[in-house]
Amino acid sequence: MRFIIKKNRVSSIFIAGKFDYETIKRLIVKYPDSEWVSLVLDKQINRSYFTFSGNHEKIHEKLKELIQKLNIVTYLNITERDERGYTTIKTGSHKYQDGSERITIKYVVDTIEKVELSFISRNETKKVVMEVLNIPSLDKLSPHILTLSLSGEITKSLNQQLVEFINTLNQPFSLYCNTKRCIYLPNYPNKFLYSNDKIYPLVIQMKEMYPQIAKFLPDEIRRVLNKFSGYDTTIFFTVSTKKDYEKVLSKALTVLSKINPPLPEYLSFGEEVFQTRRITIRGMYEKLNVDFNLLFQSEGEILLPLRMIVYDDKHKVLSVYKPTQGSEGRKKLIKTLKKFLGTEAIAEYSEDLQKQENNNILYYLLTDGIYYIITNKELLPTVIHNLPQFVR
Amino acid sequence: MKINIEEKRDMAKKDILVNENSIKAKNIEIYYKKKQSK
Repeated sequence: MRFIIKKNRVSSIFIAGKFDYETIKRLIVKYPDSEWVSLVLDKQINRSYFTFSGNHEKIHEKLKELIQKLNIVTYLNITERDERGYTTIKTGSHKYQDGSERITIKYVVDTIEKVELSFISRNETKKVVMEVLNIPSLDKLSPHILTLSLSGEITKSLNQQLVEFINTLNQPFSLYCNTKRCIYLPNYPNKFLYSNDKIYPLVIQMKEMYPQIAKFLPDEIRRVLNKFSGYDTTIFFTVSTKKDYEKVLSKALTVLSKINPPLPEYLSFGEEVFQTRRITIRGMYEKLNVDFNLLFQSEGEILLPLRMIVYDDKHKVLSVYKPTQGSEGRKKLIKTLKKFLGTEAIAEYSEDLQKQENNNILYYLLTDGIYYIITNKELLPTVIHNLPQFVR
Repeated sequence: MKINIEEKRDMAKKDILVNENSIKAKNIEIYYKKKQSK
């Protein structure tokens, strides 16, 4: 490896208090990067680090303007590696204290790719960042910003409707936006997706949060969720992209339409899995034609924990723990199972029974260790050869 | 850096230490380094 030594560049500056400003200032003009050093001295930035590389003149002009306009800057770190650059600026309420507000800018050559603002609460900071980095409406956000991450089309990130939503909740928040969507996180665990000018819940507490924000949600969601408003349950949509969200939303709304309050403490809907307390249903769970409400009542407790795989609207495999109360428990379980599946046609499996052509049987009950496995007739040949797989 | 010996002496009297890679004085330190590229 061969290194070419280029001319000196400023690498770091530390200011711990008042210094002989005039003498130092006369001196630094004889050293490289005097403009940067003068700026740091003028603004009395406590700690500054520089690793310059590549050509980022336009960005440097913006950074200088930003630093000039910010009231107190306590920390500056510019790290560049060829065409990529990364700058962090911290501002504070006192010159010689470490700053609390943080601005991070990522850039490629002279294009800003990402702006991340953390712990921003001062209006002056918002106004300066808004003006210099061209982020409209930033000053209209009234609550404390924990993290605001804007990437892609930064100038279009903060839509008026989103700003109104954030201000209505008026809670410290994090917001992550890219060109396609924003993820908004007010108080834990609530989480929202903002896409195509619409607000969708990703995680929503029905008791505290829903009544506050229901009016912002699309009609199709409100129509279903209204019946759970004020109930102590949290609904999760476990997705990360808008495309996946649409698929999951439709499944979730189908299931939610079938069930009635009160609900367990949480309901979680994913593309492949629907989960709630001690219940996991995999596959095409939205096609499941069973009595979900039964599972949330004391009568249905006997079926828990319940694992289920749904292959389509007809084919399903369930597994449940064997009840410990002997034959009485077994009777109770079968009775509840019949109610849950909505059929009387459940028989305990035996080889003889399988050999008979019995059109009156829809489900077979099999045993594997501490589990019962219930499969519909069509899936029996598959299930019988892989029993342990279906109790996992 | 083009700082002659007289200037350096003058700086030393003001408790300012200068060399090619740094400027140090009361409450302030400025460091420079040679930029290396492959």
